[in-house]
Amino acid sequence: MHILVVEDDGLQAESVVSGLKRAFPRAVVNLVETEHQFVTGIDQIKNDPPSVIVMDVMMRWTEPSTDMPPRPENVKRDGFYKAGFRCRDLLAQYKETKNIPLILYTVLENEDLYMGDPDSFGTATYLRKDAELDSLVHTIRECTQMW
Amino acid sequence: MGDTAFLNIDRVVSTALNQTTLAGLSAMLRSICEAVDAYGCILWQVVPGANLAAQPPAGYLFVLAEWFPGSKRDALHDLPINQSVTGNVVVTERTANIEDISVETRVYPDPFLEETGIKSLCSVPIRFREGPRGAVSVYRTRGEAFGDSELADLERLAALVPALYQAIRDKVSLDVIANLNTILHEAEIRSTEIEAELPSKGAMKALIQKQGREVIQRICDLVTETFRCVETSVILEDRLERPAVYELMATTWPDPIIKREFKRNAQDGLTGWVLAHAKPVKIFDLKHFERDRAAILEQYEGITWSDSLNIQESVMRFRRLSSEKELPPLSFLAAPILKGEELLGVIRCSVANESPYYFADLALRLLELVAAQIGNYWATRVEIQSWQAWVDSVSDLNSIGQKELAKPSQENDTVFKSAIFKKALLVAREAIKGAEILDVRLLDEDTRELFFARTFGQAWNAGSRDEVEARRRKRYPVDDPTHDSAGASVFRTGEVRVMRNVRECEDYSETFHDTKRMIIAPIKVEDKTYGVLDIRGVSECEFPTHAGAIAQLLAQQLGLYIFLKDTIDQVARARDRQSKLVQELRDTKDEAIRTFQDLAHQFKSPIIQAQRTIQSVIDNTPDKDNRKQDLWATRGLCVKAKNVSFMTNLFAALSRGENVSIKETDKLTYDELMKMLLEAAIDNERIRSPRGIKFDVDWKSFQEHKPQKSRMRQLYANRNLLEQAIANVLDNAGKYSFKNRRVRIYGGRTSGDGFHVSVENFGIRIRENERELCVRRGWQSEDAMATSGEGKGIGLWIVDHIMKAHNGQLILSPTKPDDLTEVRLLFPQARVK
Repeated sequence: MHILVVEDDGLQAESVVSGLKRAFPRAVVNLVETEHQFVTGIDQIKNDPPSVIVMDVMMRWTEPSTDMPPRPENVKRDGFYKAGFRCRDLLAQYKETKNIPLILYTVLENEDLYMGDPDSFGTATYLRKDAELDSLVHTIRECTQMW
Repeated sequence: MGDTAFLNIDRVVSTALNQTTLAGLSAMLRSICEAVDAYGCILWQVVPGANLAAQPPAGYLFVLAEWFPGSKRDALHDLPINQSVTGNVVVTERTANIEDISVETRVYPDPFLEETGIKSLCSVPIRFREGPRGAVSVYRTRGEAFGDSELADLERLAALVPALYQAIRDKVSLDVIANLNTILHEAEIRSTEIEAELPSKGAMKALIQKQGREVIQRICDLVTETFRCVETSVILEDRLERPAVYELMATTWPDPIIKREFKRNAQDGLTGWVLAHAKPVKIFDLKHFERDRAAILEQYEGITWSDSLNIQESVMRFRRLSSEKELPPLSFLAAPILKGEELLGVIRCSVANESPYYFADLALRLLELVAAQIGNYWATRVEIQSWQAWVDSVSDLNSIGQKELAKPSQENDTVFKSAIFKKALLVAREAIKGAEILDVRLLDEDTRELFFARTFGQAWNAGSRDEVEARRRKRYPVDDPTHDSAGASVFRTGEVRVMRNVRECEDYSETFHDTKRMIIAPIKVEDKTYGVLDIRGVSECEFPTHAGAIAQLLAQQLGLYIFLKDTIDQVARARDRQSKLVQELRDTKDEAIRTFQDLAHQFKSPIIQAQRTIQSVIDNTPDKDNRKQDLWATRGLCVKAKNVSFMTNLFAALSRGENVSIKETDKLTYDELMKMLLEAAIDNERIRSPRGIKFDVDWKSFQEHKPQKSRMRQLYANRNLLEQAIANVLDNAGKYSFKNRRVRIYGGRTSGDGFHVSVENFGIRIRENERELCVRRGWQSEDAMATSGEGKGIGLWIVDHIMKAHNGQLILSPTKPDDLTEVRLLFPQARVK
């Protein structure tokens, strides 16, 4: 199994990745830390689609550096709040990626997240971040039918 | 008086009163002939200008009317008063009864007498009602004198002739006017029918023009029939199409007329003279124009006759007269067609076909009556057409106005005004004949001067470029009495001004030297005046009487458009402001939601992570060092959550417009502060450990002072707020630092005896122009927004408030070339011990 974790918070990424590795010892767990990294890595995702993607919603565009990629207009317009949704939309554009199970994994309550648009999650699964990773593991199993 | 006499009188009177044309005089004379058994009869009248008192008497008698069997008229001649029996009768006012004219030497040897075989005559003097004298002459072809009873009958009948002649003429006049009214009434009905057919604008115009010419032609026919003349022509000015040009509209002249247009030029023949002087002309006999020139010029100064109709040859041809025959009289009448004092054209008649061959004064008065009727008709028609054109033009103006007003309000105001003014000036030019130089002047609110906003007419571009520009740049103060002008006066009073002669107006300010007349109308709506509409005339063409009213209406229309445009713009601006406000409120609401989302994110994330770390500690049994690291991290995460919670409260208070207030001041010792900084550094380092950011507290900096000062012992500050400020600054430093770089925390006394805590990091830049922006609520640099996964640009805003609450400062230094940024918390001396 191949799990892709998209999470910009270093500490949380560490705990999620290590927790998932413990839960799915044979799984390959990869980490993407920014939206830009996800966007530029979409071809790789198309070539080697993960079994499931665990996606944070509020994410930075890029890592601070001396040569930062500029933000596209849609990113400027909607800000980091919608980063997870933009990544979801990108996945939906390609036949290789549009059916990959996607878990929107966020600390925010779902009603705060969709901000008046109940359909904003689409086919993705919403999951609130919790201290324990059990619910995440359970949801991944459901999505991938990996019991 | 016997029954026969009464019967004769009755017959003559009845005959006379039944006549409908002036030629009906002949019928009256015929009944006289029949009453006295005469062969023929002539009614003579003394020509104008004859002098009966002179010795010998001067002048002629002309045939006012005659009746003879068959057509002998062409052979009749004028009679010299002093060389004829009838002339003597007129002078002496005594009847002459000549039994045999062949033996009477006083009888004028007119070939006519011989040709008709007349042997005897009787001539009875009469006086016409208007004063001129004349005679009724009866003729016999048999050499038999009129008997006493016949003579008595003749004298009785002759005495009736002036009254009957007057009656016939009056009746004819009345009939002409009645017929004329019928023609005009029918024309009015036809006009209504045309309007009811709702033709297109172009078709309507063509129909009205055609109808106008038809009506005038019918009038010409009527006059020709009444006067039994060859020509009746009507020449009119079509003011809407060709102002100042008087064009032949209709004629009964049988030949094509070459000269069809006239100007108001007294030298332009008889018609030109009538047009130039707006006075009638009666030429007794054009045939004798040269002979009578002096007398004619005495009456009509400067008049000329060019015979543009080639009248003499034409009449010879019409009557099929051989060249040896003498021309019959060529009498001429012309009357100006007026509406009030306004000259519209001329009606002229020439060459009577039947007696009376000479047009009498009364004929001229009748023609003047006809002219007056034509004047009324034509003026009304011009006025209707003019108003129709005006209505059409205003309708076009309205269409343009509505179109322009419907355009988005953002569109340049100048573009709108330019389009409307251009059309309005075009309309003015079309509606007001003689409007040649036009413009719109508007008020410059700043200088209180009128300036030319739109001009029209070639004259505006005349002259050199400098002259043109100088003309257009000219300005007119509206409040300065020392530089007053007619335009300024109209602007102030709001009353339209019509200057028929600008030279007579004291406050007229010349822009064009050739200007003869000018209309200035205020462009206004109620009490608000925007400017003036100027209309100038330079040619001979006078402005129509209603020009002032048109200008006023047009200017009012412009005022209305400006007002509407302003109002629409104001409404649009208000709408835009409202939309922006609503959007701002919506944005503020969204922003607030996002900010609280962000704060929730910032709050929950460390709590969750802290819980996970604790769970990890519980689940696993790591070595002692790792456990210590995990606990430090947990502590840091909890502190962060606490700080976020505290910041949320501060944010809420500040958003409500409250200021940060220091309710409790803590006396922080040096050690306490150092501990606070150290813990903050450790916490942040742990939180940022995945990115390899290190946080160092530079102890020495707090102890080394230049110039030498004592170390800070106590800092009077609110502990929680200070902790929050430090946390925010360190959080930013960690968040925006490049990977694996160090954040240095240092501080100490300042040269002003204050105290500072500073944080240096290597990361995204703060540019010089961004220093002030960084402390504004919600502002983030583009780099910050690109690299931030949390935070809404409120961290430094809160720090700034905290520092101000401590009478201190938050100082941001622009990033140095080596990517080093310094943020300083500066406390004043009063807070340091």
